Amino acid sequence: MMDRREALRLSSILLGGTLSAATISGVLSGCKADPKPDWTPAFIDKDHIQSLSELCETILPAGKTPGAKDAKVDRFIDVMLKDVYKPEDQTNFANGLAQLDIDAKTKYGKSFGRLSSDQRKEMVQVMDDELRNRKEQPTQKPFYDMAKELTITGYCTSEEGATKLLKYLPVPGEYKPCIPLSEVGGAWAI
Amino acid sequence: MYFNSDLKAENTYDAIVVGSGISGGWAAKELTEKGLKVLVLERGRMVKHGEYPTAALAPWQLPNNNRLTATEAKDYEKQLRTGYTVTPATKHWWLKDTEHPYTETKRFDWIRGYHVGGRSIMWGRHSYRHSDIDFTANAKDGYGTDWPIRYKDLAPWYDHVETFAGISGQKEGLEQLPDGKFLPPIEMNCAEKKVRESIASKFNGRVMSVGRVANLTQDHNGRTKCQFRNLCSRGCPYGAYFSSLSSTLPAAEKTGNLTIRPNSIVNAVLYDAKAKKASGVRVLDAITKESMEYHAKVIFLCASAINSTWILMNSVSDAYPDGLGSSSGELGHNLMDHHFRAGASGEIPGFEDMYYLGRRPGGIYLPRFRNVGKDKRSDYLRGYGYQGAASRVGWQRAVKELGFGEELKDNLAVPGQWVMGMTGFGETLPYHENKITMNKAVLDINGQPTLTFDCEFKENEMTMRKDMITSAGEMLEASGARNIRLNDPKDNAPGLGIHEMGTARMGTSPKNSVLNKHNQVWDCTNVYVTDGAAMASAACVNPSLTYMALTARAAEHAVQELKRMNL
Repeated sequence: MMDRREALRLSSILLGGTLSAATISGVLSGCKADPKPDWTPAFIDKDHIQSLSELCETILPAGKTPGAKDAKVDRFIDVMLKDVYKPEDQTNFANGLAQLDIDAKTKYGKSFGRLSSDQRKEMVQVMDDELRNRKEQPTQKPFYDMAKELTITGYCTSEEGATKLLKYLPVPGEYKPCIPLSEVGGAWAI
Repeated sequence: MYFNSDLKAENTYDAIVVGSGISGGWAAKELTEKGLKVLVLERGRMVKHGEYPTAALAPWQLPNNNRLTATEAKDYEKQLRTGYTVTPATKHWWLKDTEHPYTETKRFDWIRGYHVGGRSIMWGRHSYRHSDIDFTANAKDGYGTDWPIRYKDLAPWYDHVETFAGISGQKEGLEQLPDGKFLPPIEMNCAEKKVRESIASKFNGRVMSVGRVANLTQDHNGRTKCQFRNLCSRGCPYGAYFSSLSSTLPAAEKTGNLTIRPNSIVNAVLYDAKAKKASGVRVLDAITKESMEYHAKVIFLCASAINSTWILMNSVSDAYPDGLGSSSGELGHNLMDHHFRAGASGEIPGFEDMYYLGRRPGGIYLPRFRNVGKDKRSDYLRGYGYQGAASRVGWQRAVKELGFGEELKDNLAVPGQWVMGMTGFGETLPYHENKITMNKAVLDINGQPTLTFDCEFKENEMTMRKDMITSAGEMLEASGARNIRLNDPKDNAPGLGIHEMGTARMGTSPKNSVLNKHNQVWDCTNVYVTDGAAMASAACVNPSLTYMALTARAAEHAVQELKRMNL
């Protein structure tokens, strides 16, 4: 009995997986003068706000259903970072966003926000592959993980995302424990 | 002189109930319905049923994805230890630790809110009866002191409170978890039904039932049935779960015999040494800071285990310099909670084309199976049950997997795997040395002395936890679960279960306990304590239903004793 239990304990898998220690440099970017957003960020450096908006839109683009910009995910992220996140996470995010622009400039000579859609996808693909294939989770959550998590959360809890991509039913009125998925037609927002 | 006696008459009632949570609400209902003029004193602000400002807010109408700002969180350092209690949607129900401090010799999570209705607004609503296995446990293994009552004493009162409150549940015919007067059960979903069957067949008939919860599955006593929004802790505009606000206080109000005085901090029971009775209580008005006295023939302390005990300890007289009810040396001792959060989760394969509609306000309950019947553990005493649920993972799963772009959106639009989780709730033994003591060096926002907690889980609890984890893993494995994850949180301190109890326990003699078999203070029989303080043992089930039953039973006793002129 003990052996089987021990085997079970050892075979348990953490659903989240873990990430390798990627050091994100705190180099400040020297980039300037992206077009001004139509809102004033409270936390994100205005020079990088367009890059953030485009990163979110690349993660969740508009198509048949609204995208991250429609859901104002960039504003959500700005408020979350300013009001909720710890100082070390704020710094990590700001540095990561600045680094994204440095990398974009190194590769394409432009900030991330000014890249073509294909160039943005190419850069995000690299970061998403790294996340997906990572075996060990570093103690400090990497920038892309934070950005993706915040984008999905902001989108799925927005009115646009919750009601147009997901199924939103504020007052179900009843509980049906086992029905065909086709009757619902998709994933519940809440 | 004339004025003063008038004032005294004005401040005199048949009964005073201290606290308006689950126990206080029941005391108010029962005593007023039996014809007594009752004053309910509540230390917090007034709230009436329906005053639930966040009840209908959508996710996007709440700030910060319903998370407190870092600045707000500074006020709730201890209340936030649960990880789920204080949010923008619920923060008006939880007190600020900065205003109501306490001291920890060892970590103790004292999670609470002060307002009319108390924690009956935010409670978990799981409602289970203690069995005779529980009522005889102390006598059998020698921990704590014997309960002065048995199941047959409380069974009619469980019937009584369940019938009024409305408990949905399924009868299972188990010795360790007596059936009650249930409304129709909430159904299990496909994955849960499969797990129930697998457990029954592979573990010799072991039962996984649906949670017995104080949520209405049909309209009941003028309250509307559950709408399956699962936003209970914000307050339910439908009155679809039992709370003092939705249920007992309106019933008490209907009698015309109820007076509720909010912002009234009772800081002592007034003891009349000549009569050997309490003459009333002393109240500090939280707004005016005025001190005043209220009088009654009978007093019910229903202020929560810890705060009722605090009132007794602060009720210092020449006769009882360590507080009313302190003569046994047990007042403030034997502090218990349930230890929990140890368990397992895993993916349940199959049912990909099945889903559900509605958000269930409860889950499954797997009653205790350890040290029951033929099961005998050599390594620990007593047992545990599990709460849990199966559901299809939603968009929250998507960070690591599911890609980005159109691929991510397509993936988010469909539900993920079925995942079943089980969390044990284990009995803690009553240890005399687990205690609260008065701390006059630290004062709260009202200038009142505070408490110091010195309480820990010991070997029996820690050994039980290992079994809680492996047994959950085994049952999931036997149900065909994949990627089983064993949960063994190391930061599980007493208090986190929000089931604190035992600090003014019932017992068989004034030497071993604070309260007698009717919840009367041995040393002062017109004072009844009917909240969690009274518990002689914790059992492993959620305790609120037992507080309700004890309170209703004690109220009947008090009224009979008043008629017999014994109080």
